[in-house]
Amino acid sequence: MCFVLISTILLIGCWDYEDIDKKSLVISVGVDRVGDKVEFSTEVAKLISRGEAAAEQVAIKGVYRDVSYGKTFEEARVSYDSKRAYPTFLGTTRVVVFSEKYAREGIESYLNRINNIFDYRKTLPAVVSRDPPRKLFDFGVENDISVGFFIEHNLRFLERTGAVLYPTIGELLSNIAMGEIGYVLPYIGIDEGAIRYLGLAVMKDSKLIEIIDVKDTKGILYILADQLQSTQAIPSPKENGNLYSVKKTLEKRKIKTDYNDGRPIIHIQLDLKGELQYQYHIEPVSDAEIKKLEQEISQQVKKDILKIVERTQKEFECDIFRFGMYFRADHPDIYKQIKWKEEYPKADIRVMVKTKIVNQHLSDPNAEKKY
Amino acid sequence: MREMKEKDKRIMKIEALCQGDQGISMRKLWAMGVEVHILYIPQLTDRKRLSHDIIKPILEYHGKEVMTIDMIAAAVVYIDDISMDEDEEKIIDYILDGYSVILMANSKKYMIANTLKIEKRNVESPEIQNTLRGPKDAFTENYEANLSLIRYRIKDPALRIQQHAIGRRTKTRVAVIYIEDIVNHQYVEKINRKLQEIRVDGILASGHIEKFIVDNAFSLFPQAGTAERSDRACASILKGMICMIVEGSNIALIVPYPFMEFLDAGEDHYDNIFLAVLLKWVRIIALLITLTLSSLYIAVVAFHPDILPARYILALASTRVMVPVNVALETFIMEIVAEILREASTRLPKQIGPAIGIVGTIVIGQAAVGAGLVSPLMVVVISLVTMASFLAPDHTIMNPIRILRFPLIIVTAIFGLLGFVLGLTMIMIKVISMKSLGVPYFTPMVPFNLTDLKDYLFSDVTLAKKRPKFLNTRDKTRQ
Repeated sequence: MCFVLISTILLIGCWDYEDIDKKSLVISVGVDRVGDKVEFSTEVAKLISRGEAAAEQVAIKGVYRDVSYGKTFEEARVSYDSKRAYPTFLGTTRVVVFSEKYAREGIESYLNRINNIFDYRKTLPAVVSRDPPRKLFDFGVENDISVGFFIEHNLRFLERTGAVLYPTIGELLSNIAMGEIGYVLPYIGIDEGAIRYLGLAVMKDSKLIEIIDVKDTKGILYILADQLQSTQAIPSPKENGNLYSVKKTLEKRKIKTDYNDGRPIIHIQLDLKGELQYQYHIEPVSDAEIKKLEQEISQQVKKDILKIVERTQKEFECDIFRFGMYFRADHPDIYKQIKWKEEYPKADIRVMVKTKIVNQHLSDPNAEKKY
Repeated sequence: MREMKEKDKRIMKIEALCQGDQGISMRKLWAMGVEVHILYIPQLTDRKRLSHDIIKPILEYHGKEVMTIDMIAAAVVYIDDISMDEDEEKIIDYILDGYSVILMANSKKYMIANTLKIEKRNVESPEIQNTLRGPKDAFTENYEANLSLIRYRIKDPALRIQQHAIGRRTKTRVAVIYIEDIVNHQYVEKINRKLQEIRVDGILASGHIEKFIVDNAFSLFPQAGTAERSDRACASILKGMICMIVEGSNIALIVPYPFMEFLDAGEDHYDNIFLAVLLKWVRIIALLITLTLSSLYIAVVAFHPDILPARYILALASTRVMVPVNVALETFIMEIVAEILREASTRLPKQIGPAIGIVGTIVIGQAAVGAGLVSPLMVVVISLVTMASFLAPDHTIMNPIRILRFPLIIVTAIFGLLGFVLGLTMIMIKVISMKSLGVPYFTPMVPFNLTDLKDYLFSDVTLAKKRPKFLNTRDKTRQ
């Protein structure tokens, strides 16, 4: 008991005591390169006092914006701290925004910093911004507390529908630790008068090499998104100009790897569940047409996947799909002998997509016409 | 001649007794040429009964036989409860006990008649162990009435009521009640021994007895349960526990009484099984809230805000912006204020008690927050802690919890979450290592017994086939 007490007193103590309202609560951090200096732009919570608030209301009034510079992160931090009334608290940080310029130079050093600064949460997302983070934070948002909160909420919401990936710092660090693979980060920017999600930033060796436009990201999402749900208007198999609104949901994804003739083979098997939500013009739909529709969807998905896979192999030469992890798990001995970075571009990637339309809603093959 | 002298001596002694300031009255009668003395304390005596059932028959006796004390007892007085004695020294004790003593000049023996009448209140609803569904007959300060409430409920010939007179000066009667063929006799012997060892001058309430039967005077946690309602006492007796009723006290004691029993309300056993389980958990949570919530608040606000989601941290910080004192001091002050309010509402007369509630709510809840002296969340925490502390069916278990809150607040304010865990661990070690009359205090969790735990949580008479194992009863089967 004495040992426990003494070690308690020595290990922690009153010097850790600091009320939460006496801390500078950072909401978002932006990292950019300006000249030869690192630029830290931050959003810091501006707490409202009872006197200023309307009756019975306690809220965050918004954020202060702040910019600091330094040749190194440490210098920038000293410059940042020198302007603060209270010690900085990073536990409330919602997002880390890297400027496109900074991302092209490489973000690994900052990810390492996040990893080792204890009060940063490892579950926060990182994004790459087309515009400098400073400009992004100054732009502001009206539909959320601050830009940091908006980016987090927007990504979370889009991720639930399978429209975007939400990579956390922890996941990025594990990708970096793997060494041989790349990853993608959400790419945002100010577009049409609002901050919005624009696509995915391809990171190779933690350096930005390419931006994939949002309309070309479907193939990546089929392989990487945890939950996938997308709704698409598909032309009627009758080729009469009618459109069917089909909601696709990913039921099962299976990735198997093999190694044959000095070439990795990757089998991707996707089971999709389709839901025929409605038709633009109501008409009877037969089982044969449904079958045709299923095949069409499968083909389309397969095409989307292969298109992006080809790009990663030929253009990026980078495994952003983490196939290397599957391969290492399936064939650890071979993995040790080969260099995945070099093997990936020549890998044989085979995709098989099965779609089953389970809910046909308005279709009724026996009816002459609905209603 | 010698006999005459002895009689005179005794009469003189009696007269001296009455002339003292002991409040003893003497009524002298002449009946059939014999002098009869009746000694009694008017305040304790049913004087109507004394006149009608003793004095009147003696004066109206005109039989042929010579009047003797045995003859009066057998053929004259109407009173039901009488006994005979010869020991002169005990006369004063009988009178002080409230009996009437009848002496005759022609006899060495004297008669003791029970004409006792005590001003008492009627059996009323409980005040501290209220119930919605259970019976509402609560014990009163009247010893006989309390015993009658138990006898009325348990008509078992094996019901035993062992009586002790404790207190050199108060001679307070204490009844040890149990069912002979259920209870573990070790407990009875232990209790009887402890009661016999009491050498104090006076016992005024059951709380005094409780202090004498615990192992350690500085024990924080109660080791005897309290029962204000007779059904609660009877349920414990049926379970195999021992109930003690103390003269002049409206609270019965129950031993052995482990920790979890304090959170068992009698009505759990009368209500729906699901409700019983829910309420048991609610009470356990309330107990934990009372003990830990304010300390946790300090740990989170001052040391480890990271354990909360970011939005909560921001909300928490914004509630505290205007508060001038740090959170530890704020919590400590508010806990003290809550205790002051609680104490004030307990001591105040019933008519103005609610006023304190209003003053407390307005002053603490509104004005203090409005003035920026405390944060609104702090008020929520303190209110919750105070409300939760009233949830235990036997309030005595909440007293140590209320006290332990303060050291826990201090240790958390100094060492953060680690201090909190350390404090909580020490409390747990203390509770787990305690015993109530030899029964592990934290049973049925430690030592673990699934059947007892199940019966405890379900509180259902149809499911509890056996008596609790920890009581080690003679008759283990209930049905």
